[in-house]
Amino acid sequence: MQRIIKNMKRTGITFVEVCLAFLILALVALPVFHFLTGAVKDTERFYTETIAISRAKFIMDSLMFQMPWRAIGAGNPCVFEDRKEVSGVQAFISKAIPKMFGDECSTVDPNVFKGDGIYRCRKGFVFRARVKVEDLDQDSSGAPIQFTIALPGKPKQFFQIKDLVPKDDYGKFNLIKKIVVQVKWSNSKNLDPKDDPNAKSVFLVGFKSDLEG
Amino acid sequence: MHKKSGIAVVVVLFFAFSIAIIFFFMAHSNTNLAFQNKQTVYQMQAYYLCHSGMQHAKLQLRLLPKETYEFFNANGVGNVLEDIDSSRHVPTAMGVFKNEQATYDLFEPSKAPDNTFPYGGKYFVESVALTGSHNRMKMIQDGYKVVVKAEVDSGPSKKFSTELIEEMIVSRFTGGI
Repeated sequence: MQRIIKNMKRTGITFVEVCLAFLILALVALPVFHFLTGAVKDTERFYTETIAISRAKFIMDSLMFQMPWRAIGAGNPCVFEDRKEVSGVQAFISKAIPKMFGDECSTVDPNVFKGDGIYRCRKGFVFRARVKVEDLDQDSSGAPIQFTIALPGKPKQFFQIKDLVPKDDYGKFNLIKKIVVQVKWSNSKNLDPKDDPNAKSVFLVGFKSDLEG
Repeated sequence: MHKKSGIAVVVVLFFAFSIAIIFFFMAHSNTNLAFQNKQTVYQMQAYYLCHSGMQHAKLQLRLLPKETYEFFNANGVGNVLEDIDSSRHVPTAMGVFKNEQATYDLFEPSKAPDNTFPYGGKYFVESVALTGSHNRMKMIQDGYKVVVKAEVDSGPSKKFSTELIEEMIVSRFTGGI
């Protein structure tokens, strides 16, 4: 009987072989899991970036094409108010601005809003949006914007802003406002981008002309 | 038995190759998403610069409608709106991308002083044409076709340009569009 057992072939696997197999499997699985974790993080990064881009676009679209020119006041952050106190414009401002900027854009005056706010998406990422507006008026620069035309056979004509329009609601000879939109966000959930040294930003620049006067 | 001895190597190689292919496509897909997002931003930046140029052009047509018509009526050649070019006016001259623009931040006002921009770029009127005039009407109106181009410079290999064409009717004596 012992001779028979001795002659049998050893077809099983030893404990050492099993351990070795697990070790190899772990070595292969480790970079796989690492890669998958990285991919999930990347997906969240692209998600937050997309939210920030669409928010910046929403704000710039509203300012360039919908918001009345006179309702945009210069500053960093800018100020939204209608100094003519037209109720329709005031109602538009009070509805549109919180949608554009989220929380923290209101002021003590219910008819005045600032271009600065904070927004938290459903996944818990925090975005801050801010708009800076500069009046490119007659007195904003030593070489302000001017309008020119060269008629055939005549010298080029130059028109200063103050020659073309009266002062606006802010007491300036102004026809163009420079608008800079910034949306800043953190790729860590529930972290205010102001407190994140690795916060990301997207910027948009536009020049809004007074086509309403 | 000896004939099957190499099968393990083949299986392992096939497995490794399959995993490598899957990883490659996953990484490629993520890289594509990052590239698309960046392109979207540059495209939007150029889009708003282009619309800024178009508004600037409309502003001049509103302010100087009679003079603009006189240019075409006197067979003027060239671009009557050639000064609608952001690089020709100090307040709108964005210039090219500079390294310090990478730190531009509205939330820290010292990093976003007046007369600075977060990126470079320009807009300009490429061409303007008189498409027709309604002289017989009580309100005399002129039709114009304006082509505006914009370029954005957010750094090396981060440039984008776009074009906008609009046709509009301008009242010759009131400037109404």
